[in-house]
Amino acid sequence: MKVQYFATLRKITGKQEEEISAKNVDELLRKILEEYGEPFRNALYDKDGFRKGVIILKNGKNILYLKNLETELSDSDTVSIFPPVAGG
Amino acid sequence: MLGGYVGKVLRVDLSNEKIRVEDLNMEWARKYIGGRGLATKYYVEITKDAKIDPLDERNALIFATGPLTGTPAPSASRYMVVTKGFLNGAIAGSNSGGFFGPELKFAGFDMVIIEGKAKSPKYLYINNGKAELRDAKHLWGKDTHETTEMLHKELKDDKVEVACIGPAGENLVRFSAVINDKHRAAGRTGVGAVMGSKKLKAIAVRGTGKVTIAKKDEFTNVLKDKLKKIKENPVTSQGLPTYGTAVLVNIINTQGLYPTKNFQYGQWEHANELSGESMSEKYLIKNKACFACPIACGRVTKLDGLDSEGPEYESLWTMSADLGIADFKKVIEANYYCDKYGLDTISFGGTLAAAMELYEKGYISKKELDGLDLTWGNADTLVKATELVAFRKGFGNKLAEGSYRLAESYGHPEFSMSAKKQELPAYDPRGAYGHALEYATSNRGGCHVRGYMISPEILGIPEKLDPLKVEGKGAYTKMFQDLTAVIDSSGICLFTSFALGADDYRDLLNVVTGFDYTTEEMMLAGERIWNLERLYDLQAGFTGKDDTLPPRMLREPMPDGPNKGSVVPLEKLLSDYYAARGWTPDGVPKEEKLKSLQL
Ligand code: SF4
Repeated sequence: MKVQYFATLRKITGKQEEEISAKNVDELLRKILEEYGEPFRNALYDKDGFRKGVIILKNGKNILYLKNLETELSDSDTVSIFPPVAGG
Repeated sequence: MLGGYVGKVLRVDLSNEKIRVEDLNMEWARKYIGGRGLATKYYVEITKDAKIDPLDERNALIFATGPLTGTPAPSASRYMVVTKGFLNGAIAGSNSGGFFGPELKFAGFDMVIIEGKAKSPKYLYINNGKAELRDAKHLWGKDTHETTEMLHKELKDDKVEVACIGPAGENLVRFSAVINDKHRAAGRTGVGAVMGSKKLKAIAVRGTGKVTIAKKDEFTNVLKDKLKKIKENPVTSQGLPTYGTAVLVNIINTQGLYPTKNFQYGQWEHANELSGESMSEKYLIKNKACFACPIACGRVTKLDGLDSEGPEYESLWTMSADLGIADFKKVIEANYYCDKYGLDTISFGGTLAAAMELYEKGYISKKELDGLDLTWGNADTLVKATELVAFRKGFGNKLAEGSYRLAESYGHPEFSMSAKKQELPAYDPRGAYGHALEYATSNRGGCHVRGYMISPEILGIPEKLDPLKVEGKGAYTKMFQDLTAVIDSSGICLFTSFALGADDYRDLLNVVTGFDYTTEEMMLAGERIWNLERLYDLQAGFTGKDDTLPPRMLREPMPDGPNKGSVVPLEKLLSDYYAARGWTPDGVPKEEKLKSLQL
């Protein structure tokens, strides 16, 4: 599926998007962390888990309202990952 | 010892050219904090008749700082302009940062209250406790940049802080702004036109005083603690400093509530090209901070010789996606001219968007446009329109009335994407129901910064709420609105609230002022301020029926993206909200509520 990175994640990965295969969000995140290591982990997690404000979307829908980490993925999906950001 | 407040109010009577200094009413200060709240209290006491025309000379115009303004508290840069707004006749409070507010405190005043109308253009010069009205005929007609530079020269002091109007305010454009530091705007609700109607071109202020801190010993530790929170929070330490507010473009667009072509759609195919990420890659020179701000979300951008700031998220959106314009350079250029002429970007873009839709649907004919092309996506039109509107030239004269009056004049007010006649900002409420409630109930009309429900609903801060759920949104929105009233009144920037919570503001207020607010008393002050504004609006002629949204949001299902099919269930949201507020089902504060708030 297509994985999109935003804000500081673009600096960490050096990419705006890429193709990765995974059966669910959990597996996808493991693959991404393997590839990009500590900086990516730091951007997304603190000692208690996901940082407040981290957003992961499947086709624009927040995975929190799907099956969270168990949300299934297929090749035609787009996953968007945001570190905590805000504005107004 | 009390601190924070200077304790002085400057009263300026333009009609009689009289100036006097009054002691600040400290009893009111405790109850209404300062800034937005305290100025509204002064406003309603001074301008007794809520039904007056906003351009009536009896309409007072107040520039107010908060007790934290000008202290080293984080982002304590703000001042408010409070008056009856020309855009919609509601209580107007427009907030701005930069350096003007702190300078006013250093010059010895918490607040400047302007009354009456000058016979010829004037500017007010305030210098360390002294104030005088000076002739401004030579400044009339100048833009905000020229005015600022001319005043620096004339007063032989670059450190003089200037808040002024441009041609838009002089020409009574309904959505004209007051601009300080050349690029910082008290933008919304048409406060610039009120200033223009008074023939007051500018306030120039210089001060070398300091703001006293009541509990100096405790202040150092409290400050350290709050700065640490801001530094450790990824939003305030990375997101905003690196990308500015425009970092929101992609996140709002991906979640399907990025209003496109006058809110006809919720996603825009060019969003990523015109986003915070691409701005910092292509146009950003450096960040810029307001007074005492560790966040520095301001953008200094460069484009073909224009030294510009911004665009901020809302301005970027209103001049790109909302108009279908995918030309970043032209958007930066138009944003620059909005600052220069003194136009509120959100209402400017929103009005042009309504005009483009009216044109697309055939209600506006080519004949009346003097060659102005209102086709979606026309970037030259965008830049040209800034001038036409600011000077009320040609079709610009119609645009200068704002989207509601424009659309109504063609018999189709439904194409105005506004609430209480003020243009909606950059979030389609069909994608966030709490935010819909904020739009519908904001006391100054369509606005996102009086209770920014996007934060919990979309950004997950301070906690994640389901944006398409109705339950609990009434109480949550109320809580956000009350807290925002506190923040706006204290003189600190709202963006600190991504890292700080109610108890942090209480700490800061207490060490600076010497008051001993509990969090409950402080939040009650916020609620009191909200209800005071509401009472004013009701007296001015608004009713619960005005707590509504454009028909599109209520009846046209979102056509695309993740929110496809959604409409705003406003009735249910409103009844929950009124109940949470202790108001009647018609939206009127109940007697016992007013009593408990000592109103
Ligand atoms: S966060 Fe941005 S707008 Fe707020 S005070 Fe700082 S620089 Fe100014």
